[in-house]
Amino acid sequence: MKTNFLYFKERGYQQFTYSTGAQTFTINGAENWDHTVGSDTHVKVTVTDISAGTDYVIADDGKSYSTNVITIAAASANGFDLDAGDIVTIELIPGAPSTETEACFRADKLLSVHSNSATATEITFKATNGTGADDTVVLTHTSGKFPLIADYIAGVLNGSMQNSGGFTTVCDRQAGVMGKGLAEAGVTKMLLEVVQS
Amino acid sequence: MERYLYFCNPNDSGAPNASGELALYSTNSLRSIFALSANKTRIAFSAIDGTSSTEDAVDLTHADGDHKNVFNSLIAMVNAEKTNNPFVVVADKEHGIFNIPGVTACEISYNV
Repeated sequence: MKTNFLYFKERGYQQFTYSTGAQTFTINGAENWDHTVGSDTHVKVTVTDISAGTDYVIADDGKSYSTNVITIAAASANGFDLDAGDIVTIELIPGAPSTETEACFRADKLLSVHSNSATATEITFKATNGTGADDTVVLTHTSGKFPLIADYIAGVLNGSMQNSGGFTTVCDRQAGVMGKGLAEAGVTKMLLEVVQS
Repeated sequence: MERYLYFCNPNDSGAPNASGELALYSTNSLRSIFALSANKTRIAFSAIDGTSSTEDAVDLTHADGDHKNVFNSLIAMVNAEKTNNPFVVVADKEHGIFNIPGVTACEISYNV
């Protein structure tokens, strides 16, 4: 019998085009980040040097973080001297924060779909470490859309929406891919947690 | 039909001969799969010592950000799309076999 898995990925990616002035970039806006970044070591910062046509990954000691702002140091301090038009890509490093950002859960380990509020629905799975605490996915969405999400999950559990391999993308916030019909829920944020030993 | 996932990671050039160098897990014992770091995916299994309060882990190394492809390929193997053989080799460093595209290494951590 096929084992079905449900895939979730948080959003954590933003691009900037540098113009002039300070080499600072504000992140953690709700439209680009599900997880609130709290350290420069939680993100990978890549500069696309437009004139050279190459990518350069900034080393940890060449970047810093303070109150939602990532600063790229000068090249002399292991950073990069930006020119107008250079593209700065900042993306969450999976596993770098204390919580996980991307996971597949077994459909047959689902414990519940329940509403935490009118705008928050939590999906729980039997914990990865086997203890009582659950693995969780919390979706923030348009008010009153819990029934739609619950109906979707019920459909997935019954295999009506599976592809041939048993892999179903429920919510890939990074790629903007949602399960069939789930886009109507208006999900604006997703946080997942895998309970490990 | 129950299927089993095979992982082999000898620390030297020979056959696996020490703890943590080889494991075979039932697909039924697979608990979850998640991104461990930029270039690693963790597969969590029920612990082989039978405890329910911890998990075993196999970490697959791959290209940065390639987690979703690894998840998808692994799940296809769990469901044995391409074979009816219950013995499924995922990663076998001893023989240089990695049956998930892009995976280059594996590490096994289990509780005994």
